Amino acid sequence: MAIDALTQQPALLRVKRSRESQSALMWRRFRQHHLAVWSLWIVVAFYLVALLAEFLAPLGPGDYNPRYTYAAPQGIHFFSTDENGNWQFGPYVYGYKTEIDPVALRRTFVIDEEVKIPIAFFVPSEPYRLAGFIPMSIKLFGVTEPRAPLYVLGADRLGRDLLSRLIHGTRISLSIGLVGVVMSLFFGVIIGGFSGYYGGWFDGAVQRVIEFIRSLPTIPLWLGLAAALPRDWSSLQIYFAITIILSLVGWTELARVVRGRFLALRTEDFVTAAQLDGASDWRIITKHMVPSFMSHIIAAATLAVPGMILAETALSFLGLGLQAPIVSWGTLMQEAQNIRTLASAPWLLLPGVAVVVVILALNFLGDGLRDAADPHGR
Amino acid sequence: MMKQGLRSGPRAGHLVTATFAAILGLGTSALAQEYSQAPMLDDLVASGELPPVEERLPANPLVVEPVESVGQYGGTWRSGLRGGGDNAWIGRTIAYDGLVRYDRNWDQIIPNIAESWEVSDDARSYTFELREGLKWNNGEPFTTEDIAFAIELMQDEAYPGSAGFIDNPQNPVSIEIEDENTFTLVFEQPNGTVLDELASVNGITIVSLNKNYCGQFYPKYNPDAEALATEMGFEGWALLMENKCAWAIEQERWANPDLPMMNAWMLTEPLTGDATRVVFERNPYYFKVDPEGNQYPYIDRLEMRVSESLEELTLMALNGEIDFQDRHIATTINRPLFFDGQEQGDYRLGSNVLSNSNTLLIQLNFNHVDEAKRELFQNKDFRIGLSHAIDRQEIIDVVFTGQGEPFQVAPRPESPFYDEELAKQYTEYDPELAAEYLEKAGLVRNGEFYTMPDGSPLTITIDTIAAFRAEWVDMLELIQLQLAAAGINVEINTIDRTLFYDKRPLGEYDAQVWQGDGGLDVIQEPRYYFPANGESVWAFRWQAWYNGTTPEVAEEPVDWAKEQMDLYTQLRQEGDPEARAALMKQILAITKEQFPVIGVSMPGPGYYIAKNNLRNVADNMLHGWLFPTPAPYDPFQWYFEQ
Amino acid sequence: MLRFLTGRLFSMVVTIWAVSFVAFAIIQLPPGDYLTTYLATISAQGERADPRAIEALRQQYGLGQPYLVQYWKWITGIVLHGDFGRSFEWNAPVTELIWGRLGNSILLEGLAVVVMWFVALPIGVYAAVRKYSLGDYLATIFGFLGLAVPNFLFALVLMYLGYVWFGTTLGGLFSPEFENARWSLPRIWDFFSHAWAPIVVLATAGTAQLIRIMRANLLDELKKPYVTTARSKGLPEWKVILKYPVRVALNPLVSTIGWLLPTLVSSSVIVSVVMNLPTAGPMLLRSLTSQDMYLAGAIIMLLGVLTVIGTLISDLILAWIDPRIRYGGN
Repeated sequence: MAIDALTQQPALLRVKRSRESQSALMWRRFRQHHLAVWSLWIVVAFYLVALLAEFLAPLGPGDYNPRYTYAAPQGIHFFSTDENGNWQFGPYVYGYKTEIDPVALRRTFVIDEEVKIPIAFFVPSEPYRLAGFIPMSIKLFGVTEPRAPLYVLGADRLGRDLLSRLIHGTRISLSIGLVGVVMSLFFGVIIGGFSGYYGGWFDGAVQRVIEFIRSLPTIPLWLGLAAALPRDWSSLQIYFAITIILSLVGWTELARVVRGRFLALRTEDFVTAAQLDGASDWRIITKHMVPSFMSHIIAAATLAVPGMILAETALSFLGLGLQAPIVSWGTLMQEAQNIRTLASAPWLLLPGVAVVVVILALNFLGDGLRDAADPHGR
Repeated sequence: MMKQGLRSGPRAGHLVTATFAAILGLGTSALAQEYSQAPMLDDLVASGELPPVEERLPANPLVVEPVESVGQYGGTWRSGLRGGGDNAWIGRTIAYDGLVRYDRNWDQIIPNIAESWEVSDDARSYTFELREGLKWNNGEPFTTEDIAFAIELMQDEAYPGSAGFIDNPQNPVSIEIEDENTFTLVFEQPNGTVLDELASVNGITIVSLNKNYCGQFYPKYNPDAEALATEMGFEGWALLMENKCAWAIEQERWANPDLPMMNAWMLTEPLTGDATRVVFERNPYYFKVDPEGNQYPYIDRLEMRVSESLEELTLMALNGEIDFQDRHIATTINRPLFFDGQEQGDYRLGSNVLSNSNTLLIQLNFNHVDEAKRELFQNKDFRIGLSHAIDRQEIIDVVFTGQGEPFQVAPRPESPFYDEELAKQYTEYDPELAAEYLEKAGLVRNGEFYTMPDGSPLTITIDTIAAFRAEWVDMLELIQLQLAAAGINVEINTIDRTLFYDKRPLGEYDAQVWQGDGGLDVIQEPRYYFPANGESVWAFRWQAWYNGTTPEVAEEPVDWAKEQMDLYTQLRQEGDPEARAALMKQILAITKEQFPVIGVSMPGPGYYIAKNNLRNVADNMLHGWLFPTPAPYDPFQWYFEQ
Repeated sequence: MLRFLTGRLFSMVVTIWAVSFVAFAIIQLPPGDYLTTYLATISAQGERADPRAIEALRQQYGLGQPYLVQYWKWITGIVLHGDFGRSFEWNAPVTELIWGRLGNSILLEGLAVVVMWFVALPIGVYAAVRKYSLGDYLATIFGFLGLAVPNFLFALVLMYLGYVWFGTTLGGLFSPEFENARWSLPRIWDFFSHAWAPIVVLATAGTAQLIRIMRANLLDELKKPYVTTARSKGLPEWKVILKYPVRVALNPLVSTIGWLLPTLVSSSVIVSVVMNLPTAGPMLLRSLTSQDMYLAGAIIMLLGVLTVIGTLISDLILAWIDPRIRYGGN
């Protein structure tokens, strides 16, 4: 794309020698972008949630309770008054009063302020493996009374805790973005790198291929590929297949960025010096050139993650991506994607809010990183 | 619900019309009356474009008593179709005018296009008398020639259509024409079910092909038919015929407005691939009148929105932009929404009694290619154990908000075949009993899960389609947890519908699910009572043996299944309804003894949405596929109160 | 210019050919064919199909042939006769089905582009001029919100609010009475009373990118010496900005059409499904799931061709206004 070339190349021409180290400069510059700094913390928090999903979620993603279908969010209260009217600290939630309306076929939940259900921290639980390998049997928080309802963000149609499902879904959705981008990076850096380093017919061919892929409308392409997945694959296989499909398109953007950098760098003195030293091409690319524009790659990669996350939700919505019982933001939103939910259980749209927050944060972070990646520019 | 319609006696026996006139409370006075028509036709008659109503009606129009009262002409009935190829709603609303039809209680067969019929004693020949002076909606006379043409075309090897009894190789049929209005269907062997087939949703094929129009695409009547097809870009006459007179291939119906029909409304804007709506207008030649002699239908037009978006249809109903509909939108999950919106949308909810016996049934594969699994799945104790391990009430509470009751695969309480024991056996949730039966079946509990008798692990993979019934996945997730608690390891395999179908002949699947067809239509749809047809997935290879289809996978069934098959063969040839009911009961007795398919719960009542000013709509409707609700409740006599 | 044009045209033809090949390959990938899907569909409706009839149909449709044979037949049909094959599901030529739908797609997407520019340009200019101000942040967040809210969710929420607030159904492109009418003023009015919602959804999805580019371009321009000169000569600030820098910064924006189109086509598929718009999107989705391969292939291919042509046009405009590209070569 011409725009980026126009915005980035002039910046490069003005590279000056400086005493400050590259990373320190970058960090200083990054911190000027307040939105980006905030976004960084938000993104880090979300990825922590993804990593610690089993520990943070009070319940499993599939734990259901027939008595609490479509239960409204309880919210958490932190202060209560005892009989003497003294304030005391201790988080708790209120219980529910329920009735079934047999004509309208609905349960109505009223928050019952008579019943206070205290929330405890570090409650023991069924043993599980954190992130799949650390054996644990303790959860961050939960209720101590057995069978007491804990639906901080409400329950879905089967009486499953939305908060827990959201937390577990975070892992799938964010990792799809990450794995997809890592794969895109892999292809992008290798192909874009060689293309930019060697130039010539190879560069021409790669440019044509990239142009071609980018001219394909993505949704039909994803649709076709997703529809082509063998139908008897397990959910894990589907998961990886989806990330590969997403990165099939994603790598082109990264390859373009990398190629642009290479084109600019290969005439630089330090590259010529390395060549005169007799270093191999591989060594020059990996030891000298890649580190010098790592920051650009990181910025470009950050900006590619939101697209992947959105693409996953879009595919799930169309019924071609991940499917229940896998819990991802996409499948959660697909389950909420009907008028009934909007009308009577709007809290089930919270996964949409999570998507919006993460996408915004990643975009601002990426912008900040890109600005900072040119420490001497602008 | 197979109390067979009236069967006439010997060949010289009485005509049934009189009996039916009496049953429906109709006098013959209507015949002498003057007829009147809808105002929208007045101008056409005045200008000479249409003949007067007396000439359009047959000599003896069918007089149909309205549900509440005689109505008013006018209005448009708006409803919605889901995307392309959704012919079923059209079939359910207007295309239910065969030779005969079911009455509103789904227990008798009543005259329609045919005024009367006689059945020979050996149930091999059926003589029908058509109404005199019937006309297609283009004004051409409808005669026995048209019926003969339909049979000729469907029986043509070169034409791929399949039409039930007409081209059933096991009991070939031929037609003898006496005169313009009288014909006889002659079967090689006795056929006791043909009237039911004719009265069902599939009965219209035989009266849907106008010889004059469709004959021009048939080489026998038009030597240039092949050339015509080539010229129009079709590879062969058969494809052109399908395109123009599609009654064989389901998805292409309603795409050709030129095709004459016999229904109350005729097609004016067709259902093509890029259609955004489908429109029907009244058929000025429709052969039915109300008791005061007003020609039906009352409603002028039908307008069907073609929508890929269920949410759009839901919103249309909520906004009062749909006059009557149940299909697609009247789901359990939407019920509170529609209930709350009644006032704003000015509509009401009526009730449907679903013909399905079950919300979900689990068909373990009796013909599994794996010997050990086959033996296990055929073991009745194993199935009883599984059944007792399912907490049906919990599923009903969670998924269906308490609607319905625990139920096996069995005729519904509304059916004359209802048998409480068959419906309720093994439905109580009893983990101890479950364990007892599972051990009796030879399973060994090894830690968390049971294993096969030889100690190898046991996992049952249940195939399901998420796209067909959204609640299936929910139900299966609960069943999975419940069975896991009982020590049975179950995997849910959500697959695409084509694969679901492709897997059947291969015999490698453990289990598939479906809904309980045949809850009311017990005789017509016995697929879960014995290995009756290709939908009997629990014994696919046995049914292949019985039906002679896919002989490469056919396997000889066990004795009890063979006994059921013999009984059903007898039933099909039996003309006497009482005797047939007795045979069906014997089949069901074996089903009860063998318990082949595990059910979960009987569906609670369904509902429909009708605008408040739409009158003459029955409050309660039976809802089936062969009985294509709401068509048997005579939408032609619905009207808008003005 | 001529050399540039012929070069671009040649590469366009090659790209379109590749698109057709990939489109056909994609629709052939899923196991089974149209008839197995059809069988499953009708059995789901409670009907049964005769296996013999299905086998006869398979012969007629030529579904058993190898990939390259089928592709060759298809592509030669297109090139020689403009014949895209038949839709199995509708037993009708594909060309009869798709043009109206594609027209609607182009119309909607075109309108969305216009709206996008109108929204994004002022915001972009403002964000650049008032860099890192509160307004910059707000404008950016507003733009990115559109990007971040999944289209299908936004569309559904709009539809629901339409019901709750106005008691109308936001769906389709026309009211029933205008569905098949000729174009007239009332029909245009009816069109916009329906189309505003999808246009808004589509436009918001791409606005953020445009804002970002406009802002970056303008920031670059604003630092150039001629701007300082103009300022020092005492030109009013708005004139300083609008007179040259904005116009220069607009140039590269033209090239955004190239990537705007694939994005728009993609999001319009989803919006169309939710809001039941008679565009190519729902038809594509349907034909993909029912494996109606010639129909699906034709739509994928034509959407690709549209994109390629769109890119070509934007390249030509760019070359026309910016000689550096015309002669610089790439």
